[in-house]
Amino acid sequence: MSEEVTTNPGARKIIAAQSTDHSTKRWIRKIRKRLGFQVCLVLLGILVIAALFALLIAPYDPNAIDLKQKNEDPSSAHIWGTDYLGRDLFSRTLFGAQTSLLIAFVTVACAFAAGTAVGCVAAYYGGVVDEVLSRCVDLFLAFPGIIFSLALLGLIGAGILNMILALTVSQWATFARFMRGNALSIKNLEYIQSARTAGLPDRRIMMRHLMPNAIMPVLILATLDIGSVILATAGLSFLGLGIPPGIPEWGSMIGAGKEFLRTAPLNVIVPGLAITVVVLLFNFLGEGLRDILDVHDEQVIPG
Amino acid sequence: MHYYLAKRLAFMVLTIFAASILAFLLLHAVPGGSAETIARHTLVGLEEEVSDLMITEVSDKYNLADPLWKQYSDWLFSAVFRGDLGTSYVYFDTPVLKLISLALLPTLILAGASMLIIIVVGIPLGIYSAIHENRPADFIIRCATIIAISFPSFWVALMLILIFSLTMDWLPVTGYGTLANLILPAVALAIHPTAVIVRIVRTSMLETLGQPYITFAIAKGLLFRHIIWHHAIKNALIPVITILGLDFGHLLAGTVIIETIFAWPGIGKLMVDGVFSHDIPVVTSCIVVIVIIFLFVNLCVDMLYHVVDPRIRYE
Amino acid sequence: MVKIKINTIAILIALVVFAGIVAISGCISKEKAIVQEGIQEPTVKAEQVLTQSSRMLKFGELWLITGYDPANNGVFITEKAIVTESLVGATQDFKLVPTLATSWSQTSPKTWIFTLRDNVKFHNGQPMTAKEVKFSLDRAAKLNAQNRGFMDYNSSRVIDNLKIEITTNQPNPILPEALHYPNMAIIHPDSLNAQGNFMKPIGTGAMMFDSFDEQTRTFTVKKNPNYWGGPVKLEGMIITGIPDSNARALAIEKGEVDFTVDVPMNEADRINALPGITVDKFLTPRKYRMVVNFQRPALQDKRVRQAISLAINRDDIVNHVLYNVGAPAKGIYVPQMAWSNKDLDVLPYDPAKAKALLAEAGYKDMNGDGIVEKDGKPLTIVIVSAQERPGLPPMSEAIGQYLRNIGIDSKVEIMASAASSDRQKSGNFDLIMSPSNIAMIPDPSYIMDQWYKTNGSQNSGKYSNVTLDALIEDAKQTTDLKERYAKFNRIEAFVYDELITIVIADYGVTIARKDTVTGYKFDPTAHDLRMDSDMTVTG
Repeated sequence: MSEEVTTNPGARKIIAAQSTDHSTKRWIRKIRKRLGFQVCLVLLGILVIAALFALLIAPYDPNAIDLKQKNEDPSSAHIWGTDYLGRDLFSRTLFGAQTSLLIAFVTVACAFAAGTAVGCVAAYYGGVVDEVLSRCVDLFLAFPGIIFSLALLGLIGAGILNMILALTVSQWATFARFMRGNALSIKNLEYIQSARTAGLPDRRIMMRHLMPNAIMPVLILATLDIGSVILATAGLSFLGLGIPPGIPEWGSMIGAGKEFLRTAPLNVIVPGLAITVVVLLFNFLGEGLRDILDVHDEQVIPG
Repeated sequence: MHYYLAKRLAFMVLTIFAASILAFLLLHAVPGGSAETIARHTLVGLEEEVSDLMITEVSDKYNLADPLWKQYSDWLFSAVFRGDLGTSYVYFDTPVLKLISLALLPTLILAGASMLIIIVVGIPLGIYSAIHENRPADFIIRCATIIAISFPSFWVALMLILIFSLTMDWLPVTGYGTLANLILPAVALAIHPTAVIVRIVRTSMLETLGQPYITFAIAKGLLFRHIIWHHAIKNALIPVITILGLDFGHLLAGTVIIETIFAWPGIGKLMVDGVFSHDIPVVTSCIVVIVIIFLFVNLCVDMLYHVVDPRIRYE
Repeated sequence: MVKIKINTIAILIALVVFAGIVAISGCISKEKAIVQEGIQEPTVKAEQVLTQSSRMLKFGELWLITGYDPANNGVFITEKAIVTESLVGATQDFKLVPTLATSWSQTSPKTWIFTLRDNVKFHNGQPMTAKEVKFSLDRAAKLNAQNRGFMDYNSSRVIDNLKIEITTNQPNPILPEALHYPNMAIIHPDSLNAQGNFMKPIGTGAMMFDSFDEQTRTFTVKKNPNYWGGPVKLEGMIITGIPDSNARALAIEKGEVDFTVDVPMNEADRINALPGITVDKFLTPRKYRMVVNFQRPALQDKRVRQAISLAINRDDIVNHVLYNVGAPAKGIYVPQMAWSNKDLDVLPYDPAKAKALLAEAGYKDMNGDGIVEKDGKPLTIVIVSAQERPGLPPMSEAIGQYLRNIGIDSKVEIMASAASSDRQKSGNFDLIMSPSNIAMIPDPSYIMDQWYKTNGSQNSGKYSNVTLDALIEDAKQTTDLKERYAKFNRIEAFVYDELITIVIADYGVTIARKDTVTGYKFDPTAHDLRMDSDMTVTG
């Protein structure tokens, strides 16, 4: 992309258009070659559909309590058994997928939006703007893992919105730092410089040239981050801080089932396996994308 | 170089300062609620009635009615000039500094033991996986690691407890003081970062092995083993060092949940207990301490990185 | 150049790792040493003194030990460590008995005179006199508003060595009952240091303070050879706080403790079946109850409250949620209390009748969605519950289901206790699940005042009945015990039937002990449990 950039705006447009076309076709060809990736995509598709249509698919109301049926083993009536209050584990797990995916998608979307915006702006303008924004980012990055979310949730209380807020606040900085790094490496490429000298408006350059080219690795980070957010949600709910008991959520199911670890371990095993499988699928997706898009960056590790 | 170090240290202090403000604000923003929660956790019992008189008393005792900036500056000055981080609301009349110093060692032991596992298990596995690229061993290791990365750490902890403590009765579950107590928590904490390290070492190793100078060495006729040991590993491990530094931070964050499960008396558990009982001085100080440790380790790792690879230059 | 540097780094790393291993094992064995030291010493002494082989009891208690000043931590130091004692004790049926005070009388509406027991010595050898009692009570009132409130403490005056006069702000007919509370324990002024800070508990109890290890938070007490109550059988105790119920269960199974409380309810029977361990279930003076919000029009209708109560299957809840740790509630008080109305029985379970009552009150399901409506509005009930008390969240969820079964749109909201009490205070609830202690002070008036009187401190449902207020006040001032209890029986019957609060079950506690621990007697008047100095530990 960086060879032979002419000063002819028309030629630039053609080259840009061609490279986009070329990319899409290339990706589809690559996907066709990778069976594992296809399987992953299919499974994820099934997962998302199942979560969306949980209401229709679930055989039981996830909150339907039947004390006399508590801690039943899997049977034809309850394919994964029942929990300590007699609720169907399969239905609860399905609705738990709804909760987890909802929180994860919204959180990552918000963190992604906020982070890439900040990172892009910081990289593009440089100077004082960059310094100030980078210090901000560093500040949030100084809190490892869920420390910040933990304290914040302890303060504002449990709930889905609160969880999304707390996790977005702890995740956005990773995106910002990464985006900034990528944008910096592209910023100095000739065609960006030419666009600047040509007098194109800053925002246009950022939106149409800098961001789209810097964004691929960040998208992969986003995919991998979904897994991280699901794990963080589960961890905080397990402690009792995230999603209030009552709303089916895998982490709080494990937390509530903990005292039945010996007598009825399914309470803990089923939601744990669910988390593992879903995070696994998203990790595969991220890895596969990284492979397809030819991004060689070991630094793509979600926080 | 020294200028760089000074600059980094200055930034570190600034960040710690800002982090402490953030942590403090976070926890003090709801004054009334705090006095009541504190009274409930310490004086009357969780479900009992807290009279308004009692709320006023608790509030006065800890100056909870003061404006936030005043509470913060009081805390900051006594922390910096007197080394007094305040007194815990829950542990009667116990200075926070004492609680943290008691809790610091267990957390460092746990994080250290996990780090040991990561280094001793993760790095060799990653190297082995790279050397045997695309052979069955590599395939198995890659599969295992991608699954291990997906496990929730607290769930792994519970499964380990189920298998090794409850079913097979080999190891104790909670408690602190013997090596047996350390094994389960350290393993549970280490699984995720170990898997990550294996993958990174493998990638880094493969990249190094693909470098021209390795091909040249092979062409020269050097023994493959010699090449691996004397050239590939050293250069492959350089980026791994940074990751290990980052990992330490993740270990610190991970101790929060693991320590709670295993009743390990470290900073993570202290912080979680403090969050639930609104023990504000304890939580604020825990956050600050964790941030300090994290930043310090990152700084050390960056310095180490520079020493190890003199090609890196810092402005 | 690079080569040399890498080798150096490798060696450095190896050294650090090695040092780490050494440090870790060193620290750990040091910790082990500290713990072991604490245990070894007293065992040796015990074997020298006693003919029968008996040793220290390892006690795994419920809460982390955060302090041991009786003014604030009476529950721990008075009831569990039994190092300090209050002036007044109680029997199994909650009647008062003399402990450090032998008799008391109300000499005027606002004054009481307590006669103290003679020949009681503190652990430092000093005799207990009215001076020390005044010191302790002054301090308890000053440091803790709840203590002050219970006693309605104004001041006290030393009359002579063994007589003390206590003055209250308002006439308080239950001052002796208030003095039963563990925070009102008597300590010697030498418990404080020169600056007036609490250092160690010098009390009068069967156990003497030995040490407190801050790292492991282990509290050690040894027997008091000069206990006024006679020779003490229990050698001593090593107390650690184990806040997690699973951890407590494991501790007793593995023999890490000899005695513990509250194993997970679903494990009680299994652990009891293990050889060498006995798990007993006892009832405590704590009630699982629902506070009803009388500001809500729907709940003002007694038929709706009755329907709610009839919808709940208390037997199933006790069976399947509490695993029979506890019992379905019979009345507002617990059966062993001397003043409880023995004629009251468990409220019935009859969902058909519940639905009929709802229909009678005008709630019918018009649109077939399973929810009843009145005047077009569905009957929605929000149940708020705290999450910390074991058994409470699943109970709340089960009750939510029972209400749904009769057509009520019930929503269960479980939250941290701080948030739940906020909801309670602001009236933002329909029903609140509350595991309330009904004998902070062992007297029937305690909860009647708080729960049912207009503006009672725990009357968050804002129920107001002037006639009832007068009855409660009258009963409270009645000094003749028989008449007093009779009056409270009638009051209890009334509020129970009116369903002002809807009681579900009595809270139970499990006591798990090794079979080598004998002689334990459970005291229901304590907050969680009271340790018994008549215990012996063999083997």
